[in-house]
Amino acid sequence: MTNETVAVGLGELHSSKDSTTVLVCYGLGSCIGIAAFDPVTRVGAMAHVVLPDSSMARGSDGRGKFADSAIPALLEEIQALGGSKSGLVVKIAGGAQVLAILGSRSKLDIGARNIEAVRAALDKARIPLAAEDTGGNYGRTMQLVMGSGRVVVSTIGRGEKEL
Amino acid sequence: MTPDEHGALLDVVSAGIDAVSKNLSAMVGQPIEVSASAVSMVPVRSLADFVGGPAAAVVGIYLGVSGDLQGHLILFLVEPQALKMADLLWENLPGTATQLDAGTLSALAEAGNVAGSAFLNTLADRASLVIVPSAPSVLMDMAGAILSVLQAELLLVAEEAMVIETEFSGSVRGVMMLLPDPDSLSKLLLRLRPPA
Repeated sequence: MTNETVAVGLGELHSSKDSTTVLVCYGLGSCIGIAAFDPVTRVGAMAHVVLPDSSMARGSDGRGKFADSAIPALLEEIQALGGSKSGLVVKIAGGAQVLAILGSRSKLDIGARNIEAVRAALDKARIPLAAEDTGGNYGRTMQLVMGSGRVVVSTIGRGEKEL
Repeated sequence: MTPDEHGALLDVVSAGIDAVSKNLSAMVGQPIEVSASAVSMVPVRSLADFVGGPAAAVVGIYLGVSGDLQGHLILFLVEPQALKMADLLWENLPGTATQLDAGTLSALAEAGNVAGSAFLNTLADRASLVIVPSAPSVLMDMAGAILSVLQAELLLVAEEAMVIETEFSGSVRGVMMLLPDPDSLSKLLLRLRPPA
């Protein structure tokens, strides 16, 4: 059976209950990939968070764009497909500081702020964080393999690991 | 952007690319002809598509832009093109550089610095603006990872950024991205009005 890859772009949120789907966030830097999988119903979802706080929103933004609003939206999608919040396995990757920009709006490390905001949003929703691969100064690609629920993080020159 | 503004922008980009040619040639001591095959304004969220997608292995040479114009300039070379660029800079036969080691990256950083500064200086001259480039940072990683912090910052204020697809001596393809904040872009466009 061939797997179908679904790319979760900047600020997007995708869900699935198809065992042949692989949800992927490509090239995460300061962004955070959030992978959620319900092992009982085998429903999963992935969000590609860009920024910590939806008070920064302007116009029509993707449902996965902000850490604080991405978590409730992700839960909604999981539940809409018949999944459940209890027993949901959530893993995150990203939040790196690949490019340190000096003297601009980004004086604060957006990656670190994103990690903190995602953790806070999970806490608020009372969802435990099962595993993470965050921080550092390098990019990551995160995959959620719906057939198994496995979450794999790959890098350039730093190998691949399962979370 | 009005057609007039777009025309003025294309005009200054073309002058900027000529300056890149001149300065890179002076740096290497050999003529390096640089041309812009396409100049476009593209949505910030899809910038990585111009360099092989967010997971593509690339070298990015980054210059912060401050002064009257605030923003970022990056020259991207996907890995095979980065090696070809190193051969071009060192006047080696194509295929000589096989690794992006420290020496290679430092040569690419210097070339990116010279190219980026030449381009920004042209913009500054034409628009009578003070534009101050930072020292270069050279990065080797996934395109999306390098861009993400810039996208995060820019997505709060802007829809589009400028992508200049370039060719060096007809053989090496690179992509230059200018990501100005919207106020800076307006200022630039206003100052680029055709001379009376």
